[in-house]
Amino acid sequence: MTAPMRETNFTRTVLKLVEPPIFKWRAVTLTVLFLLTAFFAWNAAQLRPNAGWLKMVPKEHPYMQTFMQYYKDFGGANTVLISLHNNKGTIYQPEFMETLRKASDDAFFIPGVDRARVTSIFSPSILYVEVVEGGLSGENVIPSTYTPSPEMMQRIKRNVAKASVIGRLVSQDQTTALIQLELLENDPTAGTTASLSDSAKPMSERMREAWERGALAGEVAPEKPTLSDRIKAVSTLSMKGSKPEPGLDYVKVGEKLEEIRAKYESKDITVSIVGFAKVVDDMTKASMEVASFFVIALILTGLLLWAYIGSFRLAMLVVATSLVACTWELGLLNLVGYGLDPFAMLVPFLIMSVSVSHGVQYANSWANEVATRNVTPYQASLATFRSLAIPGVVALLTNVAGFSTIYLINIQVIREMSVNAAFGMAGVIIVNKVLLPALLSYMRLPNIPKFREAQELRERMGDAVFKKMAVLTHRGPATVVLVICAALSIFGASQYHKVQIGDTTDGVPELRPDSRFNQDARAIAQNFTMGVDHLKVVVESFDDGCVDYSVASEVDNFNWYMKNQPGVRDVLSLYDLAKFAHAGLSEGRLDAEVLPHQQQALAQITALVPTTTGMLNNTCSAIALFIFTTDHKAETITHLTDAVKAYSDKFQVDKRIKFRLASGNIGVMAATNEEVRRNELPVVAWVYAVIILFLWLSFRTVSGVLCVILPLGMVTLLGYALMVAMGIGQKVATLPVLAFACGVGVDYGIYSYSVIAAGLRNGMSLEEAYYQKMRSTGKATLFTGLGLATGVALWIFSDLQFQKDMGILLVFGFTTNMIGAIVVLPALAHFLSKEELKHAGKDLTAGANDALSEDHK
Amino acid sequence: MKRAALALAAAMLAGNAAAQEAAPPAAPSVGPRAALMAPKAAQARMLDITTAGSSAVAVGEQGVILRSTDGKTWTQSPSPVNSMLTRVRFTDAKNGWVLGYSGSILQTVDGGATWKLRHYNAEQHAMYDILFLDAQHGFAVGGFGNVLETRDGGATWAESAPALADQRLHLNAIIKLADGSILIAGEHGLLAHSTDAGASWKALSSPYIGSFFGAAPQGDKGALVYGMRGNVFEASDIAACPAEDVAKWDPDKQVTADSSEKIAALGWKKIQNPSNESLFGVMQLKSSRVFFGINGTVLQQQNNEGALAPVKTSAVETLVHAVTFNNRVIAVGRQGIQDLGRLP
Repeated sequence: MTAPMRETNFTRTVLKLVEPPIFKWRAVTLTVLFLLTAFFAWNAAQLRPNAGWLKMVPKEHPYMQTFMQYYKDFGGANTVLISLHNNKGTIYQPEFMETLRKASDDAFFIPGVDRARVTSIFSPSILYVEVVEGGLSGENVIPSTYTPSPEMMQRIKRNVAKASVIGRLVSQDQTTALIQLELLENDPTAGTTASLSDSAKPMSERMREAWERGALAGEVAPEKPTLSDRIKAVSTLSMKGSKPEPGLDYVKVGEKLEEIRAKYESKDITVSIVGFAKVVDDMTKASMEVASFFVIALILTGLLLWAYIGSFRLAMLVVATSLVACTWELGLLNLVGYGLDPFAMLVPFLIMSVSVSHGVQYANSWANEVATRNVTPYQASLATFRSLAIPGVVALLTNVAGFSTIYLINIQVIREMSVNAAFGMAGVIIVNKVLLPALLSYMRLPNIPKFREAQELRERMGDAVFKKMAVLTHRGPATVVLVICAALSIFGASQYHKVQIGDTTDGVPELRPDSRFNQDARAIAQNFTMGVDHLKVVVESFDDGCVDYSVASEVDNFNWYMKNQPGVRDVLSLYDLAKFAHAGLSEGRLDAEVLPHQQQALAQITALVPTTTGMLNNTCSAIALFIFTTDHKAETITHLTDAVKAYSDKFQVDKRIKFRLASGNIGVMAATNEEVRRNELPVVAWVYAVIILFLWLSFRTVSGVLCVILPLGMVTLLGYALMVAMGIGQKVATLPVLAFACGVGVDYGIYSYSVIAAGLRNGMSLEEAYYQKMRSTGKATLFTGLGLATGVALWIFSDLQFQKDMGILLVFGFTTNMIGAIVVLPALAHFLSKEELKHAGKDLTAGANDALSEDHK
Repeated sequence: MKRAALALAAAMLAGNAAAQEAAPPAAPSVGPRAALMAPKAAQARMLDITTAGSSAVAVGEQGVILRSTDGKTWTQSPSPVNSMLTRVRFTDAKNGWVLGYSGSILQTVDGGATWKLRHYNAEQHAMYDILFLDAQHGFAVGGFGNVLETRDGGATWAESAPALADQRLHLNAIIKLADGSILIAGEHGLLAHSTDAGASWKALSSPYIGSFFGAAPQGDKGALVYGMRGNVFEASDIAACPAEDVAKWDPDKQVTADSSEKIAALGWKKIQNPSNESLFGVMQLKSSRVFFGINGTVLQQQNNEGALAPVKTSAVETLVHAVTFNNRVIAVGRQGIQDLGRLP
């Protein structure tokens, strides 16, 4: 290996620059890194779970603009339903009614609840009107003289029927009653829509805005902010802590809801609770469980590493440094003001995985040098650094670039994940390219002869298999492999159009179908026409437009049109209540449940519906139409939004009205799905473009690019087929996974190909180069792929459905990418790699061998 | 009283008075809009049901007209209007009429498969009932004293009975008694009787001042009337009841007869009813009759005599009418078409 080589000047220069701090001044570097790690660890400890409703929505989407505009008038989509079921019969039993009353009262004291919109049969806004011989009669469903007496029960029973609340607040069989709440994202005493959207912004953005305006959001900005204004604004913002307005504490809400459940549930009464707040609480609890997965994965990886490297000390070093990378990630996250979102639990796993994967390559190579060439740890580390630093950093930068592309999706939780992953990758680069090399240069293997023996034994065991696998570089087997791959890719591509956007299950997608929450949701869905799943359409007209007959009748037609769409359980608007009021004023006759032509009559009956119902705004220029749906499957949602648009285009007569999409949880999902659909292909395209660019930069050969990218592409296409087969939809939770899997997959390819190319350039045959690759990085690739897959495989047991989905996709991505790198890559190389011979003699390892003769002073 | 109620309610809403001051863009003027062919039509509010030959026909809101031959599956017939339809009547298996809001009168000659609009006026109130004395001569009555008459088999309709119309009361039912005379039952206890095929009308001295929602002939010259708050009355001879010219009848001077003697003096008998829910429809069975009303009220009267007794059914919300079809009771109401099964 002492043959003179032409050096690649550029890489040499780079290495000359970065080597001294890592190796020469390693003591200083290690001290600095230790202090930084301590700082980040302290920051990471401050990290709080943070799931915000607004974070999961695409705020720029037109639907969400409608949502924000009318948030104050019509509320959002943050509904909680508490149902009380009497196991002893109808609700008209004094004990049950008392429980319902107490539970309704307790609901008022849930943090963040919009007290104007707590609705049950006990609410004063639920009333009925009827005409009796002597004039008008009407009262609240629960009379003001309420006492839990049997006579009162009969009276309430009659009122319930008259007030048209069956199916809404009382179940069809009258054994279940509902309490409906709406939560405000912020403390209602302080919350305005402005501060609401402001607190949803990441801290970095708020910092920037505070700096630019010289004032905090909500304050009047000085015309020309002075430097001191700016500093004051930014410092006030940061003094308030990273979460100046913490938003609604969903865990607290969840606890309060569980308290209500615990208090009132008995053998006679079943309490069911559904709503986003409950989901978040359940999710946060379940993500604690994921933390235990993390520990299990860590131990498993440690054990595997130990078995693989044959040195406990070395294995622990890799695990420990990877933990340092995670610490950096979490610390940085807290530093910029983010919290840990349940969705982002993926990222620490990923960082751990990537870090271990790179750490193994490094430690393996280092151990090889020490064991086989009898050099000092310092020399071994330097040699390893020279051969792996460049491909390693390139691979990591490719990862960073790949993860960054998901930032394109304008949904904050995804953007946070992107930033989060980028922080993590920064940690991984520092850890694997600075910390680990420096530490290894101090590292002494306790028993080198024994280690060497074990190493040789393992190598021989692998050798037989790898020799056989080298046949993959021959024309025949290579052709077979490629034909199979092409067939698989075509199959995957053919499945692509079947991939659902959004959710494919009918329960709450975050939780498993058999979770208590989803059982509750089904129970409520069976008994009530209104459920949590609803699309709100805002009908815009003009001031007092709602008392214009033409407007009213157009809305009524639209209502009927939507009611007849598949997937719709019921439609409710101001006019449904108004019709009811009209019938009440018309002697209760059913054929008077219509909208009267006369404006006065229309004004009279609509006025009986208070604005606090969230059905109309103060000027009566906008009304909200609630479309309750049977589920929130993507196809149901798409069908409904299409139906709304189709009505405007084909059926609408009064063009003074605008039917605006959308609010309600289905409206938000529609916007999210559309955003995901719009970005899904661009994200994949960007990921690939970025990866291709980096591959070109590192190899400068078409062969290098194709040998790595083609197996990756096949995995992506097969991923679609897997999603179809497993019923996993493209959604906020799964979209980043494909990008992440690509990122990790490209690692394998880069490591594998760089060793093969280096071999070829040194004059080896492809078969020999492949064999050598398998013995060095290939073996590590194999190990990492299995290790990572085992780690995320645990996710399949998560209580969170989206983590299960992510787990399945990641296991698939990690293993198939690994197979791609060791099976498909050599087959491709057979046909493509002749190009590498043009660069014969160029040293891709940047003088690693010279390091063996260097010594540190 | 209704007007008093309106005034009272209007006073409660001074806030919306500004509505008249704003100048919104003019509403588009539209004629009748065809009904949407709706997959869930059977869940619409249904207002009436009848049988025509071997099928049942029901009508309801949003211009829904449904037909069924088995009482289970319903097929929607296209309707030229999407107003609420309130009444369906067939004179034989093929020929029938449907009434509705905006003065809608629809005709079929093919058993209800297709319908033609014979009368429509967007400004007009609802039509509630229709009666043909013979193939050519018929009456349709509706809200605010609306009486229309045809002499050409329903091709054209003209206003009729001006004195009755002047009362501006809702006319809810028009029936032919066994003796050939006509009875109209309406709002405010109005009971109008004509013995000359609708040429002149007399108002009976009513035993009740609440609204009557329906009427049925009884015996050779009597009638049964029912309405608000569970009031049901029967008379054996309508012609013998005290009456005056409808033009002179003053609704505000009427009082409810509060004893059985006073009621008997007016020629009527009150039928005992344990419930005080308003009743909208009656169905005559072989040996009993069944009343339907608010909040799923179903009451039965055995042998057409004695007190009413509640019947337990699956219905919770308002029912307005029913027919027996294939030995089952098919009811219509707020929750659409409901199969109530066999009644006891």
